[in-house]
Amino acid sequence: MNPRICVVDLVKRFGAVTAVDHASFDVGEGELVSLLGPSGCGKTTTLRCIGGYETPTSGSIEIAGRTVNDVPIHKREIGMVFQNYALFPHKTVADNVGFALKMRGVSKARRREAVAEALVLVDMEGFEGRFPSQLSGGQSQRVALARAIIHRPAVLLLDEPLANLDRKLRETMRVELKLIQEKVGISAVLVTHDQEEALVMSDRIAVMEGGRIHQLGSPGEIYNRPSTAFVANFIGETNFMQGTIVALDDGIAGVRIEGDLRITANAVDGCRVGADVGVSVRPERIRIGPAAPGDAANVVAGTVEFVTYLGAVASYRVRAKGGLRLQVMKPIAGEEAELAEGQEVAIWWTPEQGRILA
Amino acid sequence: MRALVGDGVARLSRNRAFLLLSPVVVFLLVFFLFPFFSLFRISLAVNEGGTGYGEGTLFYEPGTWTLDNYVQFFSDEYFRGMALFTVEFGIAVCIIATVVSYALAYQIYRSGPVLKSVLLMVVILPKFTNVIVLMYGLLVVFGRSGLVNDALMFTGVIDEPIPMLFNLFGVLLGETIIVMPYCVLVIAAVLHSIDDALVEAAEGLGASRARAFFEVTLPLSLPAVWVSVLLSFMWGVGAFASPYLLGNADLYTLSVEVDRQVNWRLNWAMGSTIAYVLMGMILVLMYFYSRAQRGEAARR
Repeated sequence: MNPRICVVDLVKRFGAVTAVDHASFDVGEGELVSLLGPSGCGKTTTLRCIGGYETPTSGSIEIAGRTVNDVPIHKREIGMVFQNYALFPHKTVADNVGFALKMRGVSKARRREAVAEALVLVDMEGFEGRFPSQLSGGQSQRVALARAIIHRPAVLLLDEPLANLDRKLRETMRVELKLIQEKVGISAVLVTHDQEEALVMSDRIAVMEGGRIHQLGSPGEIYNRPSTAFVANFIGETNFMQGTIVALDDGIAGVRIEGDLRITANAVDGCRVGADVGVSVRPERIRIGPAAPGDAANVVAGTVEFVTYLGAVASYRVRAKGGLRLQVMKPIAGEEAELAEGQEVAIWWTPEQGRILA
Repeated sequence: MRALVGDGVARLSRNRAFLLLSPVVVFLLVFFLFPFFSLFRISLAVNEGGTGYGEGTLFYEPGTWTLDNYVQFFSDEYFRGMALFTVEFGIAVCIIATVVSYALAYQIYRSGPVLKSVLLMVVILPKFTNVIVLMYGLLVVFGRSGLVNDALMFTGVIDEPIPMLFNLFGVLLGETIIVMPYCVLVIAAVLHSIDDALVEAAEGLGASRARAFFEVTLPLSLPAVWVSVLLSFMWGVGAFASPYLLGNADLYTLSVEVDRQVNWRLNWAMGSTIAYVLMGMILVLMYFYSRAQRGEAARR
C-alpha cells in the first residue's frame, strides 16, 4: 500500500525558533494519523507545511506520490477543516460546500447535485440556503467537513476541528467525523492537543513535543508502550518513578527506586546494569487491597492518602513506606469506594505493567 | 410600588443622560442650527440687484419672501452647468479615490509590520498639515518646474513641461489627495478584520491568489468600499480648496461659487441658494444610495 502522504525530515524554523525539528511520518491510504501534543509543539506548523501554508526550511513533503514542496496551495488537492471552520460568511451553505467544485469549473447543475450529496453525507440536507451565521457550532463543523471533502482531495487536513465545540457535542462528533472519514476512505491528518480525541479517532498517533515526533504508533502502542517519559505522561495518567537498574535477569530488570524500594519490570533494548531509568506504571494496572496475594511481585505497602470517587472507578493516592506516592485506579463494584482514607493497604503489579523509559 | 419607584429612577436617569447631552445640544443649536436656518431664510429673501443683501435680514418681514433665487438658479445655464459639473466631479473623485485607496489599503494589509506602519504614516501625514499648505505643496511637486516635470525633462522623456495643474487633472489630483486618507483607513481597517483563515480556506479549496481575492476578500470588504464611496463622493461634491487653488474658472464647483457670491459679489441670497441646492442634491443622491444599500443588505 502506497502512502498518500510522506513527510520526510521536515524542518521549519521561524527566525531562531525551530517549530518543526526533523519530523518524518507517512499516512497510508484511508488512514487517519493524528499529530498530538501540547500547544507550541509544532503540530499545526507541520499540518500547515503539508497544506502549503508554510514553506518548509528543509525536508520534503509528498502528497499522492508527488513532491509538493514547490506546488502552490491551490494545486495541492487538499481539503482542510479549520479550527474556527472558516466558512465564507457571505456565501450560503451550498456555495460554501460547492466552492472547490466552482474553482474547478464544474457546471452549476453538477455542483448542485454534488453539494446535495455531500450535505447528506454530513447529515445536513436541506441547509443549502442558510448562511453560516445561521448555523450552530456543530452544524458549521459539518458544513466545513462537507466543503473539505466534496472535491475528493488526496488528503484531508483537520486543524483542531472539534476544539470549539462543547464537550458533549465534541464526543459525538469525534465518532461521526471518524465514520465519515472511513466511509469516504480519505487519508487524513488530524492536529489535536486532546489525547482522548486522538485515541478515539486515529489509526496512528504521532506524539510531538518541541518540534520533534517522540513516538509514532497505534493508540494501543502509544498508551501501553510509550517510548519516552513525555509520551507516558502526556497520554493518560501514569506513575513515573526514577531509579537505577541493579539487576538484569532473563528479560526482567530489577530497578532500585529512591532508596530502599526495589521493583521489577520488563527490560527493553538498551537496558544495562547501572543505567538511570524511569519506570512508568499506569494507575489502572496496579492492584490494590488490604493485603497482597503471596505470589505477587512488586508489592508496596502504604497508606491510602486520598480517595477520589469517579463513579465507575475510584482513584486512590497511596503513600508508600519510603515516601513515594502512587496513583492507583480500581473499578467500583458496589456503590462506594471500598478503601477509606488512612487505611493500611498493599499495592502490587506484574513486571509486564512496568514500562522502562531510558 | 416597587415598579413605580423603578419607573421614577429610570425616568430620572433618562433625564440625567439628557443633561449630559445638553452642552452638545446647546452648541449645535447656537452654532449650527441657527445659522443653518438663517441661511435658508436668506436664500428665500428678495434679492435687490445682487449686492450687499443678506446680512441682518430679519427672519420675518412681510413682502420679502420669494423663490426667485431658486428660479434664477435653475433657469441660468451657467449655474446648471456648474451643478452638473459638480456632480460629475464628485463621481470622478469618488471612483478615483476609492480605487486608489483600495489598492493602497490592500498593499498596507498585505505588508509586513514595518512597511505597514511606514505606509500608514505616509497616508496619515498629509492630514497633519493645513489643506491650503497641502495644495500649494502640490505646486512644488507637479508645477511647471516642479519635481515631476523636472525629472521627466532631465531624463529626456519630454521636451516641454506637461501642464499638470490648473486643469482637470490637477483638481482631481488635489481632491483625491484630500479625501484618500479617510478612505484608506476605512478600507484597511475592514481588510484587517477579515479572518486570514478565510483566504487560506479558499486557496486550499483550489482558488488562486487572485481568485481568492475576488471570491472572498473583495466581497467581504465591500461594506468599507461603500463607506469610501459615500465619503469620497460627498467630499468631492463639496470640493472647495482643490478647484479653487488648483483649478481654473471652468473647473469651479458650486462650493467655490458660494464663496464668490457671498464674499466677492456680496450676494448672500444667491450664495445661500446655491448652498441649499448643493445640499439638496447631496440629500437626493444619498437617498438613492441608501436605498441601493438596503437592497444590497436585503439580498444577504
